[in-house]
Amino acid sequence: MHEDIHSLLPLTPTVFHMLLALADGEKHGYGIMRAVEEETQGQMQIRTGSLYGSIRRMIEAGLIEETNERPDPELDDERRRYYGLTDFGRRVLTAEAARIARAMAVIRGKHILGGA
Amino acid sequence: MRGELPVSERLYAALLHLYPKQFRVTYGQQMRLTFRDACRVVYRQNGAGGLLALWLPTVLDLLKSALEERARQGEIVMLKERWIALAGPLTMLVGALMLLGPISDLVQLVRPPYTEALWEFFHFRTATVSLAVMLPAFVGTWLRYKESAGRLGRLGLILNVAGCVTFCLALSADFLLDVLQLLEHPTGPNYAMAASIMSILIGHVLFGIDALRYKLLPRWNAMPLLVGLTTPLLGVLSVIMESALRIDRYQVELTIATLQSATVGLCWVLIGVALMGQKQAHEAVAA
Repeated sequence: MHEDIHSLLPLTPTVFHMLLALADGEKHGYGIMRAVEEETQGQMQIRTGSLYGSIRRMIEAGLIEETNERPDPELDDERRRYYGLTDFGRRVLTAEAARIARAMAVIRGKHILGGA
Repeated sequence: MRGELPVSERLYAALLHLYPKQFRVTYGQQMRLTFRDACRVVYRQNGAGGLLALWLPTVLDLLKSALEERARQGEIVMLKERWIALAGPLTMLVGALMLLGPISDLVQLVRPPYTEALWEFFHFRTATVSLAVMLPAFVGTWLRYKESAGRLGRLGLILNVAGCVTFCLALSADFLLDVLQLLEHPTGPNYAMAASIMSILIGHVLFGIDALRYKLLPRWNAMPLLVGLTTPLLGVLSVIMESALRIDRYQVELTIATLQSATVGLCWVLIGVALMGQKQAHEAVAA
């Protein structure tokens, strides 16, 4: 099921930010939406339909998986499902982050952002 | 909790039926929960206005992603095949509806009294309804022949679909204006309907030329052209009847309407049979 990591790069912005949102722990759908919105300072808003279409594709690609974790019924709706990164997903995220870091090094070297 | 939230959630749950069943079963409940959370947050922050503002992008996203999921499961292709399969029976049905006019004329001729109300019902109302039914038939025919027809034929098929759409819109506008009584004698919809019918007739002529040239239908390839040419040919006939034969104008109009319904209705029945025959041939090869 797992493809070569580099054949998946560059990731689409949606997949990249969803993986990034899950990097610090498992989240449910709305948690992913909020995390992406906050981490992009509101520049990226994923709507519910696109979110679950992406979740399906990412599960099929082996990037994320549904976890067994369920919320405490007293604190939250126990029907919620949580999603987390797979090992493969984490490696893909690392590879994409490295690619972006290399691009950032070039950006800094060429003073694209000015000043620095 | 205010009433807007449960209504909003129920409406969203209903819209989830736009997704393929498999996707809905797997993710439907999670999508409802996620949307519920989003609704609660915007409602807490911005009230009903915030809820409304959330809906527009949500609906657009839902339509887009539902279409993507259906395309992924091959349902779009299935939908296309269903439209194509419907083209034959629907065209035949429309033709049969058109034939009701001349048949009722014959019945009333044999068994009078002849009433104008019945004439209007069978010639005008039935023909109007049949043109609305014709829309999916035209779409199916366009989908079937858009690759195999030449440039003229493709243009003709598009004119048919466009004419049918504008006819349905004009018919709805006419009905609404009549109900709302905004204008005393609205003429706009009538002009639009006339233009739509003209588009359909020209469409049939163009497609008919290609049907004859490339033998698109398995048989009766002259029928589409005959549908398109019926109106101008009968126009010439009505002039001859009125001026040369000195027949009363009212009688001429009745006769022309009957001949037109009979010819076009019969042609459409035959086109429908031909389209169905093509489907059966295709299925036989596939088997």
